Amino acid sequence: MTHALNWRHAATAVLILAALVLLFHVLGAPIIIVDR
Amino acid sequence: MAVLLFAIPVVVGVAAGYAAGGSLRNLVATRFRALWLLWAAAAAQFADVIPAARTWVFVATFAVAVGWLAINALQWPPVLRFSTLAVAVGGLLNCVVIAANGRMPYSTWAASKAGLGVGLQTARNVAATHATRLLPIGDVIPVPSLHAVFSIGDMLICLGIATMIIGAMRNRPVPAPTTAAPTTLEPAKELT
Repeated sequence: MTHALNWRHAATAVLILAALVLLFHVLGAPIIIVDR
Repeated sequence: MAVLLFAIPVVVGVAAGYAAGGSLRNLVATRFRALWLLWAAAAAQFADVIPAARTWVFVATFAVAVGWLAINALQWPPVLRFSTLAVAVGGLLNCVVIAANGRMPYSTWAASKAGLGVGLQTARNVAATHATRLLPIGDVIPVPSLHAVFSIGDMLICLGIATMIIGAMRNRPVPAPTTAAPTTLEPAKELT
């Protein structure tokens, strides 16, 4: 039971952090090398 | 490379959050509402390959992201509100300069400093010329180690996302007060 809860927490944390990566992708506009 | 770059504020935020005594358990316990809006906004960005839809995609994705910030800022404690404000102001600065030029202009000086090819054009970026408006809030900050050029808005967004994560990792949500059923006092028995 404890393991299941830990996995659920870990998955939720990954979802939140991935969404924040996307937030930077949507609002940010840095120029980077895309064709290297 | 791009994924790595966009993950920087998150990686820095998590590392700093742990260094500040926070934990991912607190991050998970912090209520992030409507995360699906960010996933939807990111997915909608793929539609900007259609030239006619580009302006609408740009406006819609910015509006959705700022809307997500507003929804969450209303229910978060002050530290997290500050971080949403930084992200929103950064996004607004990028939005203004992109709206003024059609694409995000970048300084050719900064691009060469960062090791980028001058004259490079991407879906979002274009080299600045004499006709470029509001260049100081465009991509003018070279980061040679990442081969990237950032804007002031990008920096604010990075700062805001990192502090949002630190704040959430240190945030210990107060448990909702339990509404205990009123205890009915039994009438005192008369002593006989």
